[in-house]
Amino acid sequence: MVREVEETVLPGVGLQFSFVTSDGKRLCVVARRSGRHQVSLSHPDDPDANYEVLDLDESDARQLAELLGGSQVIRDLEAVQQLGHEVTIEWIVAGAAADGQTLGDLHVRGETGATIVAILRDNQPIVNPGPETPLQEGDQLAVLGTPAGVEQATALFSG
Amino acid sequence: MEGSSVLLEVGLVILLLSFVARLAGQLGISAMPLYVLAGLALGEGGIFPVATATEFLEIGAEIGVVLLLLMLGVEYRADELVDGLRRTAPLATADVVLNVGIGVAAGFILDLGWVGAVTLGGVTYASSSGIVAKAVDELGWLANRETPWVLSLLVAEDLVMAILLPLLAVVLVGSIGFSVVTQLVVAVGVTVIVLTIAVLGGERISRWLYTDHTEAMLLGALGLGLVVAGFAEQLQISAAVGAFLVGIAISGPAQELSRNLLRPLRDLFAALFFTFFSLTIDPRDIPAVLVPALLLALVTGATKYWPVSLGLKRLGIGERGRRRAGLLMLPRGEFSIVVAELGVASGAHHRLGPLAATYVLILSIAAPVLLRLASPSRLRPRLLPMP
Repeated sequence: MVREVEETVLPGVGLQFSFVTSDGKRLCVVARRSGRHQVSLSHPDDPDANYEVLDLDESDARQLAELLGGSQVIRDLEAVQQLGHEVTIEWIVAGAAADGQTLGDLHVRGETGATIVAILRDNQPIVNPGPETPLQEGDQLAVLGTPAGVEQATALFSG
Repeated sequence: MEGSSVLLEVGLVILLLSFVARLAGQLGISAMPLYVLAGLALGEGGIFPVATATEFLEIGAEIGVVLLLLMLGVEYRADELVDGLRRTAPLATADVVLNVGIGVAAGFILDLGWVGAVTLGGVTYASSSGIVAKAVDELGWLANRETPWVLSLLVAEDLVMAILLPLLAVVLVGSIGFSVVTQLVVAVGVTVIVLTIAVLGGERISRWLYTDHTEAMLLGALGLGLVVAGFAEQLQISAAVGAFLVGIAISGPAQELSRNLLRPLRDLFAALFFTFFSLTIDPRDIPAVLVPALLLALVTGATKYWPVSLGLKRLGIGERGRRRAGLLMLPRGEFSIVVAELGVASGAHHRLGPLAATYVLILSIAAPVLLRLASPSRLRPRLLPMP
């Protein structure tokens, strides 16, 4: 479920991010320094070559990112609500055990059914963190889930 | 009135170059080889030899070299240079040894004397960053897996060139007072020190240079480039390298702004530089060097293609990706002409200029054609977004 994103420098152009999708294609985002983003997929005949699917300017890219990220949070929220329990959000503090681990490493959602919807680090919010997001001791985590799930998550992070 | 005839001739030359650039755009190739052809037509023995504009073109050409290299440096960030060199070190080493080596050897075989041979080594070495970067973008290959390696190797070549050019400059000028060895050490030492200052102190220099007043920014970046290039020339480490190092030092907001501001200036003066280079070449000397130039293009084409292809095989890139990468590295361009110009200016063998021009023309025209063949229409990405 957690995809490993490969980040490569394109000298003089910007950055290339890529991961392998669930149907085995290589999805690549070229982030130009100008703020333009090109999203492309590999071709089955030639796994190293990508076709441009989308060419987004800076504001388009921002909008799309917000849309995809935002819809993910709503889906997570709905998934929790479908459990038919009461849903709560609580702030918990990451302990030493979580330091240096990513959210994916800790399997928060799999273990507890709860979701980390935001991280507050040095008063800087990280909204809708992905599974690759590393944690630091002292991070404040907004946990969304059932009361039992949130309690389990609290134990997981502070343990 | 002589003054007005200079204006008339310069105007006509620039107008001609504008048609040439338009033609290149329609053919989908870089305008550089066509500027070289235009220069051949305008020079002595050409179709329309220019008479009074030569002096202006000469100064324009000198500024053109500075702007070409300044912009090349501005394109890269210091961390990209270090990263590029580290990632591609073994490949970059093979690249230098093979391609410089073959050029030097060919120079001796063709009896160009040792100044000519050393210059030819510089001519056959570096691939054209300008042509390659443009081709990658236009063919829609930026997202490909092999592309970061190709671009990193280009960066490594540009850095190696920054060390080779001062060496070459010393060899070409010959010893004055010092022994050649001392001068070589001094040239490389100064270059490395300035490069370190550019990489480490770039941010501070840029903050000092940066202003959101566009005119002041343009003049500041250009002025600094010219001053350092001039100093570098005085120290005999070549104006081009000085300008390149200033470009590397410019980072952050100053980098973004000066890139946009300098581009039109670079386009103008680089066009003059390519034209001026071949202006000094008599087209009647070309048939005699055609066969050696073709052979040299074939051999140094192969010594670019195979190392890159083999290197990428180890990294797990497929056959098509390796072919694209190998072909991308073929075109030689601006650096080759900068080196050839240095050699010609310091009195290398009279066949060097025509040979270098023909060689660059062959590779810079053949490579885009081969690249398009490597990208069959079925697999060719759309160049423009649909309306």
